[in-house]
Amino acid sequence: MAIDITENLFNPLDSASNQVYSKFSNIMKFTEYFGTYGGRTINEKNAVTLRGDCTVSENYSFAANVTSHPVHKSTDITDNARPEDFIINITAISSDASMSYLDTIDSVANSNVGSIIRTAFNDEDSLDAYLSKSQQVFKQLKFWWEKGTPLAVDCAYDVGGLRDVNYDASAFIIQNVSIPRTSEIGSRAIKWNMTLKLVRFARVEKEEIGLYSFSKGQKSSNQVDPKKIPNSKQDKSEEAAKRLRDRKGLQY
Amino acid sequence: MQLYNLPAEKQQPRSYSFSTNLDGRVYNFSFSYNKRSDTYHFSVLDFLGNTLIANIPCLSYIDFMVTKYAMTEILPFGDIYIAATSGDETQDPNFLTFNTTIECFYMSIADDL
Repeated sequence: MAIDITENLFNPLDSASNQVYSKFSNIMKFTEYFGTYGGRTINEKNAVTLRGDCTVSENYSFAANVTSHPVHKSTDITDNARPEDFIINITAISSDASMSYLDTIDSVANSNVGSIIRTAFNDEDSLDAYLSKSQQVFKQLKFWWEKGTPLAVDCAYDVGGLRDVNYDASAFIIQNVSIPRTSEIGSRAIKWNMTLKLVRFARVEKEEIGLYSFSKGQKSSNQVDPKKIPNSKQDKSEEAAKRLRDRKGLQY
Repeated sequence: MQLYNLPAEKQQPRSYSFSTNLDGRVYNFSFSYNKRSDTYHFSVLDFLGNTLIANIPCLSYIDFMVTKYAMTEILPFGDIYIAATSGDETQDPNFLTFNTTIECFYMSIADDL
């Protein structure tokens, strides 16, 4: 029986990918933010997802700037509260030996054994396939940090992803990554501590409309027929035109 | 007097621009929405893209929108005029009404010469 590799072959950075996702919805997940930036277009097909095999700690920190002004007597007057920082901190471990979770083809393939299996099927990333999972996590975190890649975050408090008031996915950028390598962690795992900050994107909308000609006596193919002001309001424009003639010194 | 309806983007983008020929001269117009004043502002540029005058707020039934800054240097044979084509004519345009019920015209007096 043929195995559908594309369905079952997981994201090597995400132990809880594919069918077992629902069981691990409480593990924080980072996905590249959909959109076009840095010369790449990220969509649901090519977005890289990272989730630790276990989370040591998570921390969510909100801050607001409350402006206040002193008055003659009593306490200060507060006139504005402006949300400023939303910072997420996570410490997680990704292990090369993550088979311990479950006995599914996903987690087998995620492991060291899996990297050998993957090599057979995954021609595109054949070089990456020889990397262990901890090496791949290190490489990915370094790439995100270098490129300033915005990430969407799914967490236990908001399984559908953290969103803003308009229900658009919030984007977070890595502010700091620290990867301690100690004797406790061992050589076959990576412990990563990451701080992310909420960012907002400026949106530029601009439209270019074609060339139009309103020249006297000329007709061009793309000319728009002038829409006349309704007769009831025509008088106003006639008066304005009269004032304009006077202003420009044209006696009529 | 002849009124020409300036081309507009009906999808209401926050900023749009176009090139046009007004009484024999080519101009670039740039319109952008200003959230604080809740209306569009326009700039007039020459055919090379040099700004002639910038950021004039679009308000209804204002005389000499460009002429009051430059008598005949920028638009020698007319001026920009904003008027309601339907609905309440006492209102100034805002993000929703500009280019829908309140429109932007080029008022040409070249015929009167």
